[in-house]
Amino acid sequence: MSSVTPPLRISSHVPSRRALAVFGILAIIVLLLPVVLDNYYLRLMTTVMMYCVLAWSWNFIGGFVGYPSFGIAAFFGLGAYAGAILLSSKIIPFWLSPVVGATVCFVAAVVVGLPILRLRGHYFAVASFGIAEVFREIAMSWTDLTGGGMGINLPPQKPLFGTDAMTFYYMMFILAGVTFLTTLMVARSRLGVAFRCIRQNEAAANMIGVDATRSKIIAFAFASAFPGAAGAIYASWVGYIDATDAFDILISIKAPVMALLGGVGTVFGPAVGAVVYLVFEELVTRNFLKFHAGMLGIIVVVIILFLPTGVLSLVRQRKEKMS
Amino acid sequence: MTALLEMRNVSRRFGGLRAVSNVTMSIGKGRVVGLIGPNGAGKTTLVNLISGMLKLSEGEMWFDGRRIDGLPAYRISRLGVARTFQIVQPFPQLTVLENVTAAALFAGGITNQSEAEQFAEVQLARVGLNGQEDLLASRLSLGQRKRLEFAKSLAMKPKILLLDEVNAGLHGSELDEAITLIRSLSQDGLTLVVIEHLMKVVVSLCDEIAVLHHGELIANGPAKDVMDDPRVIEAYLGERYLKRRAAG
Amino acid sequence: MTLFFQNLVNGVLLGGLYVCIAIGFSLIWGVLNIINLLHGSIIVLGSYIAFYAFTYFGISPFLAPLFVIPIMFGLGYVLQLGVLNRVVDQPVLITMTLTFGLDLILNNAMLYAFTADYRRIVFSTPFENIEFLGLIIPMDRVLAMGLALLLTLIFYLLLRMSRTGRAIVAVRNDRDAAVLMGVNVKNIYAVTFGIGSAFAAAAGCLLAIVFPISPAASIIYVGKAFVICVLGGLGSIGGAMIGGLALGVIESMGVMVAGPEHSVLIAFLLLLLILVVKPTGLVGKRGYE
Repeated sequence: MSSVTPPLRISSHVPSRRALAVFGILAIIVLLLPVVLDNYYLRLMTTVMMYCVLAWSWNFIGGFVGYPSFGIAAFFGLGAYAGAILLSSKIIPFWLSPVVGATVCFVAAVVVGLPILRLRGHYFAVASFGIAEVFREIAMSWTDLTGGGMGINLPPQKPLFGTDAMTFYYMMFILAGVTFLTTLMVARSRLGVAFRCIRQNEAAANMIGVDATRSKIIAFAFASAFPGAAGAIYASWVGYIDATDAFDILISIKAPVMALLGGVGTVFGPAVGAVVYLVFEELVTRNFLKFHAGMLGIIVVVIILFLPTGVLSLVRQRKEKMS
Repeated sequence: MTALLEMRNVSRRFGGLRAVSNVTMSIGKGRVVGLIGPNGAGKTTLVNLISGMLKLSEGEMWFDGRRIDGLPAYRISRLGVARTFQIVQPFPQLTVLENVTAAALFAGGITNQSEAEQFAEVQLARVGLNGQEDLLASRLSLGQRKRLEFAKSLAMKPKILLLDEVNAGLHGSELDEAITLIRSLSQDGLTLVVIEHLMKVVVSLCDEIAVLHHGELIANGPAKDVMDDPRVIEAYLGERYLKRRAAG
Repeated sequence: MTLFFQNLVNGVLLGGLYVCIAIGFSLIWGVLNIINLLHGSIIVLGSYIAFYAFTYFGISPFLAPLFVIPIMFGLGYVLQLGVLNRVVDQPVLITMTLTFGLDLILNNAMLYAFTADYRRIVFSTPFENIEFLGLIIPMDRVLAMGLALLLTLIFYLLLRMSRTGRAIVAVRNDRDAAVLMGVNVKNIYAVTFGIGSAFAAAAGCLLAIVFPISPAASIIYVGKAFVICVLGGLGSIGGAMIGGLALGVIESMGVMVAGPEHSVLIAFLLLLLILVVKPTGLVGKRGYE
């Protein structure tokens, strides 16, 4: 018996201590940024963190488990509406709205997931897309509850952390932190092993004792709850939501694109992808305001054709070359 | 002798076709049972029924004193039923060690990842794959993949092991090693069901033989008796086999 | 009672047009295993070409398919050969996202070029409507549907009779076997995508006769194409026909019961229902994972 326990080889997919340390330092920097940033950049960073949450969330079901969802907007929107409805009726306090958004979406994901997670590949993709469309149409039609096409106006709230901008910054920061920690814990845990097995060979996973159905639903629930919380924060942040905005199909597309850009199925990849993508988008919007959706299209095409394994894989390749 | 696995009137239909028809059979603990028959006789279907990959159309399946038909596959494997696949099914992007550790973590019931890994290493040593732990499963040769299947099954702490043509494609020394391994598993007390086409393997390993033909069980009993059964010879072994036996 | 039959007629006429929307989409999904989110924008592009041909050159939209088909075939062929052939074996995440990116480019370009205002083709002499047993049968829709069915028939004959067509069917059924038989699969893929695009654009010309035109409509068309493929089954003309007619009728009936603003909701609920209950569709050929 050796005196030092060798590192677990099964967790070779988990980031190294050094990578985590670097990430921790970055997190502390982000935590302290509001001291120096003006409102415009605070809002930009809040958006960046929101998309980190969305990309990380998508990564649970699309990356770890390998079921490509094209409907994450369904839960972003559901959370946004849940938060908006309860806040504007003054039923819940402000700080509770993300929790409500997450809970509502967690439950909805379990209900919705049970039938659609039985589908594979293309059919699952189409079904997830369909769910988002159905939710959106319901929000548009159920005027009594959701204000229909006119949306919901949210009453302004007292800021929790200094200014309004800082409040939303920190709310999103906390959510991003929770999402990241969940991602890390899952990657390290037995559940993460189950996810990886399902992704590579679901039938074999069942044969070695993995309860694939339960695992998939858990992944889908995570992939829905965090966007739900993000949606609720978003609703308060913007002060007004409507169906086209909350269930915007671009949200459903950006999340997987960002994960692709950074590295699908990794721990840091989605965040890296979100940051890189949004930096691009910021540059592009400044220069090409009118055609900016088209520029997004070009970015997507370029990523898929030339960098399908993501930015992090480039980093890894260079590391391997040097060692 | 207590029956570990018991099939009562088990049938499975696909549309109009009866792939398995009214099979009633008992497998005692610690026995090595050969399952033979021509291609399409229903052998793999029967294994799929036992392991839970397929649902029974009729009948009951009992394992270790409890009824298992209708249970999902993952539960049956956690109860101690392990099987190998004819076309091996590893997790291609996991390493050899990770493949086996995964099996230990779930069906093997070892929830601590570190312990599961150590247990996996023991199984790998047993099948002779120690030293290949960090190879990606997709890069293994056929013989190595078969051994990986074994190791995975063992990591599941099985009470019964269903081997579906585990020797197909093996020759010479690889085949001999496989036979030796199977025999050592049996000597350790593991109950085995061996689907095989190579009669020499069946005869050397199995205490009992069950013969399937068109989904029906046409013979079942001690190896010697079954091999002499005229129905079996007609359906499967063939006249040449008789002549070969008579000659030497 | 008359209302019921009127809606039924409307549904059938609509269904005929819908078949055209879906054929190209179904072919590409069935043969190339690609969910082509660019499809809707190609339809809209076809509509715009018909619109501008009519507005500036007086060319009837019924004749527009004659030149739209070859142009769009060429463009589709090149696109497949140059871009999509690279990802044809990749999982749905990659292919669907790629076609979505392409769709964003085309859609945004059209938005930029033509603005979001809805256009309509206004015929100088309006069509006469047939009145039959108290039902009003709009002539423009009948003619559009007639042409749609004619195109479908041509397409069907093409697939059955021509060598290329049979190669396409072969690739759809078993790609590896087709390769072994000497089929140049890359070329067939490009031809398939060319045909799919050509038909989408032709469908756009016909739709322009009946519906207003705008880049915003592209996602509605893709949505309908999805539903039709799932309803009817992939990769077969029969499936597209059944799916198209079924969707047309169900939508009309649904509109009668619930109102026109719910037609998209009905379509997608139907989609989800079918996916959950019988993913291979009513006609149900082998689905694609």
